Amino acid sequence: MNGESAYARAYARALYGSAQARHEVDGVTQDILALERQWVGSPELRHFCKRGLPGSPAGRARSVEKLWGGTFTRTMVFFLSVLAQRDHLGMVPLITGQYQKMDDRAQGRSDVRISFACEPGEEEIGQIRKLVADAYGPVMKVAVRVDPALIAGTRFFVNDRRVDASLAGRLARLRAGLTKPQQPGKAAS
Amino acid sequence: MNIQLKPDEISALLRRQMQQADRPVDVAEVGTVLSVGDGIARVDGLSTVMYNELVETESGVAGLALNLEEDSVGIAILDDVTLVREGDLFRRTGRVISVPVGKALTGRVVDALGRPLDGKGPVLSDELLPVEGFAPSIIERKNVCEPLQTGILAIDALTPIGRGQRELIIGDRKTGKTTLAVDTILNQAGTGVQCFYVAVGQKLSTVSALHKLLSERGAMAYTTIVLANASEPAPLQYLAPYTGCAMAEYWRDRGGHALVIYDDLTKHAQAYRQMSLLLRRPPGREAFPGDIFYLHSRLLERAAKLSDEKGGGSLTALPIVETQANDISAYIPTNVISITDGQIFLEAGLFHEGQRPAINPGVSVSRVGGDAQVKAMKQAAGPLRVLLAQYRELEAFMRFSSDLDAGTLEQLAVGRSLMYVLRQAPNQPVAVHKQVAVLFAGTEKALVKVPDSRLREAVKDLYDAVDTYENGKAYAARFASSPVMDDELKGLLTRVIEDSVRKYRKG
Repeated sequence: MNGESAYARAYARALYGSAQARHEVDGVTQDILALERQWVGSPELRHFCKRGLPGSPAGRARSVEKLWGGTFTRTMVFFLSVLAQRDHLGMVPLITGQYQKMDDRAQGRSDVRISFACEPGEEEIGQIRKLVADAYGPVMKVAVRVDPALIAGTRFFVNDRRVDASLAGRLARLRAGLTKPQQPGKAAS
Repeated sequence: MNIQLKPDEISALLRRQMQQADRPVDVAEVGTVLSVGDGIARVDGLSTVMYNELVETESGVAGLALNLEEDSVGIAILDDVTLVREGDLFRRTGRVISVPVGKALTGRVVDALGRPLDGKGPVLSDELLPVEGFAPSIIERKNVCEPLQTGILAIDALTPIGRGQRELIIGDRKTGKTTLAVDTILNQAGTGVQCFYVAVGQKLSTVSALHKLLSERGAMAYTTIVLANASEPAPLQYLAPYTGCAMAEYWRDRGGHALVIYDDLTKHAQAYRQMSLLLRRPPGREAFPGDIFYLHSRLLERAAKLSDEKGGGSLTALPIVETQANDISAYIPTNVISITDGQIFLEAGLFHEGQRPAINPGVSVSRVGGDAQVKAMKQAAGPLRVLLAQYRELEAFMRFSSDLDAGTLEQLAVGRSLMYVLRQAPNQPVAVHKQVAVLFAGTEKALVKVPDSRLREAVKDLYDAVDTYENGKAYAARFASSPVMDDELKGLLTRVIEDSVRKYRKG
């Protein structure tokens, strides 16, 4: 893993541990989701965080206090101050991603990402939800998107498991099967 | 070239393959590549992947799951690393790496995954074995009891090797380590021993020359070369010895006999060090990872002589280790010395003096091979080590003293003749009965009166005499029926030696 991802993982682990110790997991999780929304929706915030704040570490911490002091929990504000002091605010999207993974794992929440070849109906999504609920439990976070490259059918991920029922996947498997060097009986490796 | 196409066969084959490949729904455990570089990919996901499990990308690039961390997996890429990009998916296969084994590999040159490199088409083998096999347990083993003749007099006399033994060949670069190994392969013709030469981090030109030599001498008829040359990715160099071992185990487990040469384990350790550092494992002494000992011990423990209940097969291992400036106390040499059942130490000084093979009899030892040594050889070689030690001691003393008594002069002459006896040209292994004849002549002081300038000729003549002289033929026949140095054999041998050596003596 590159350096930034390793740092982000360490930061996310520290934040989650701190939130657990202060019994603020729900509040900090809400802050993380809000911060993620702000990051996606505000080019100014992205610019503000990525350019590196001017001034001393203490001055940078004060800027963070001004920006988020009234909206986020104390744990979250303190955490962002630490990031600002170390000039690591640019890692916010990586840290929020890692934090959510930790939270999902802790809550036993399945991360479900569904792709359809064309706009799905509620019934189709419901069918997949039911399948996942039967296999992994009812707590899940579902993201749906349309991917015309699938040609037809659907492909969905439940945590690390991928279920590919798309035409594109079927063609790719066929192609791989026909072009792979064949050992008599079995493959060499 | 006239190629006859058979449309029915082709369409049937295609239909069969399409049926196998065409699954409407594919379920797989996958992980996403976060970063890739220097042959190592970091993957997010694959949370249930096993250690050492084979994984592959959609495009078929194989990888080996090595580092299972809390939220990522370190994968050593076994194919072209440029085909793997950030965001690609690796999927579990549920299998550990396996390679084809069996008769189909004989005479072939393959890579660390068993894929052919010699342009002779696919390896047509139905059987696969995992590269990481388990060493036989103690009850499945038996003491080393059958000799593995190398055809090199110095080894067969001083550091005999038995089938199932692990004997290290160690020395500086260009001291003849590979030559010893190759001579041992050449000497296995007609013995039923399947040979595997594993080249790790070697130059392609060296391996090509070796392949040519083995082909010309007919040794490829019982030999397989496993090649992970210096330009291959480190994971393939790391895998190659285990691959060669798995291929040899096939024969061992079926009651056959196999010989594996690992050339060399220094480069193997360096490849593993590279992988470990890239996987961010903590470095230890000389930056090698903490499990460097286990890397070699688990490989060499697979060499064994199996019990009669298990078929009595054997796997003999000859690992090679390269030293720097004759320093056998470095990290990897001491590790491998402590794992193996003895070592053959080749010394650069002896090599440059013309004493070839440049085996240092003082440091070389075989801990278990003596039990497997041919009886007559054991008897003939009995006084050899002491005589050589005395000679080495006196030789140093001789440089400072000009007046020597007759006894000392005789000891020096005996030692000198023995050193000549132990000299041998490369790629010319000698049959054991001839070795015994020449060794007997040396230890019984029959060559003492031969001038230095004629010693080589006298030794060569003695080798020939065993085949051509009447007494020689009688000796060879008696040796074949009972290779024990009793009075009858000694009498026959003395007559052959007298017939042959007499003409070379001065006075």
